[in-house]
Amino acid sequence: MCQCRTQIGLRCRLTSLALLGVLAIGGLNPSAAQIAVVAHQQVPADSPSRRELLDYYTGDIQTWTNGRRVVLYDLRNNEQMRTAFYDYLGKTSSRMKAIWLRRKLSGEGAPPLLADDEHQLVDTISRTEGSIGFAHLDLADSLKMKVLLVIPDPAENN
Amino acid sequence: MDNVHSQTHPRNRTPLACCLIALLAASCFPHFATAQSVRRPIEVFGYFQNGFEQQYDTQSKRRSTTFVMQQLNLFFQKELGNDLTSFVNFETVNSFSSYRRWGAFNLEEAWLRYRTGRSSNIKVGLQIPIFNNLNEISNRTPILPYALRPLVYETSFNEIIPNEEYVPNRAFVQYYGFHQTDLAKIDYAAYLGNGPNINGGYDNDQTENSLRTGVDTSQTVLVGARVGLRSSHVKVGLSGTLEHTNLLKVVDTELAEALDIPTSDLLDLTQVRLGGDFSAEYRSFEIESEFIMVRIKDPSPVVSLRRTFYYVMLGKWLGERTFGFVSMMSTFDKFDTPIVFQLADVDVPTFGVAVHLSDALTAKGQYAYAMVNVEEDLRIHKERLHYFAFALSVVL
Repeated sequence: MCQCRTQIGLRCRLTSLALLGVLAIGGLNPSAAQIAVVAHQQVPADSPSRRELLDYYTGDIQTWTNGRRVVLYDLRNNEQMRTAFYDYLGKTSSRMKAIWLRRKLSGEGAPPLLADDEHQLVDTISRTEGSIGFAHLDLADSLKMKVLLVIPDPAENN
Repeated sequence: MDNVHSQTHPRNRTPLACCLIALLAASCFPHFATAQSVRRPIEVFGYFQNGFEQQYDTQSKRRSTTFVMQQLNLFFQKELGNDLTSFVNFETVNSFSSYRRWGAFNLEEAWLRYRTGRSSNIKVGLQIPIFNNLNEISNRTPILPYALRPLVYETSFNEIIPNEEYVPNRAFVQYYGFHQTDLAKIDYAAYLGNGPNINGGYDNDQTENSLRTGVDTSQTVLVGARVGLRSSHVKVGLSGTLEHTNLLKVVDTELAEALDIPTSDLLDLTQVRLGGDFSAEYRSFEIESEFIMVRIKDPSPVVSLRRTFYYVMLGKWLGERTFGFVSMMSTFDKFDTPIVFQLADVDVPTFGVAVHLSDALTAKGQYAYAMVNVEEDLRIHKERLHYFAFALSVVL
């Protein structure tokens, strides 16, 4: 039984090494696949919890602790990344759309602003006070913006 | 001549009243003064829902088919400052045309909201108060999967089911928000509004307000509240209102004479409305349910009025864009006196599907079987209706 487990463990390690080798050969940086939640430098938050992040994105909380309005950003053409981000918040993309529509039509808030791509998103966030969004970690320039948290890769959790 | 004086006198006081209101507003809302320098554009948006309906009466074998522009709402919203928002909502129902005298056109909301904190607000002006889960959003058709909404929320049935008797449709001051705890959010709302004794222009109440329509003719106001618990997947709440109603608007003075009670016994009766709501989501499943009870606390034990409503809906997301549901809804309306008896009982099992064709377009299809039992002074009338509805909801 023990021998069996050792063999399986060894096989897993070899598989991981092979995967890292493939990534290295392909020139892929593991951080490039990770999603970072980024915000403007002056946002008074350092590492919001998942619940706080959900409160911002559902519009339950619309101001930062300093009273400045939270400006939400989303990506227009990156369904894969949106799905990963909203999965992390425990919602599907369609449920989030339903929540935003309810807020908008009740006069209680607006849906996030849409950036065409990640480059535009990080550029806008670096220039817009109170803004928050998500992008690949390697695009987040920590000199120009705050990286509030890095979303764990769901595959790693499994 | 007296009338002229009584009408011009208040006008002379108007500038003073305006100054007082402005001073009060400036002291209550400190950001208001700075807000004047912020010039943001007014936002105009809205939605409409067109439908096709077919109804078949199994008793009379009569079939009716119609296209209808069920509802159109236009919103005007303006941010007056960081914490101050104004909002106006115009609504038309049932292919509105004043020229043809079809449908209705309503000013549904005109309010000003001030954020008093990160999770609390005060809203002043004509508004739809928070009562159960659906009241606030019942007329936002793109949010709901239904072509035919739960009965007391179906605005286009207002000519048949008296929605306003079941749910409070208007408030004028509301404080609401939530309190975060470790486990869940505690939602709260408290509001004041007009009671049901609104001067519709058809009565001759000899009161000061009888000159104007759309105003409350009684000396009391509606008081309402909701308390709820909400986590990311479950929402539950209890709502209630207290108001005074005038049964003389429902029955005539002959009833008082026949019962040998003073007509004052049918005036300003205390009416209590109690509601409960529960909604939850689990994976791709959703459940929603509500109940409403309306009772009149009767000072003379000869008049009894009972209204109840409930609905339950079980739904499932069939992929990212399609939502299917089955639902059961029911209203029960009983007015009972020793000489007048009226009972209306409506039960409607229904199922349907909503397909989100895009962010702005939702197509809906629904089937409902309505079982209507009406009993009035020993006459019993039953109707069994098959109802098909297709609708297209468009966000502007």
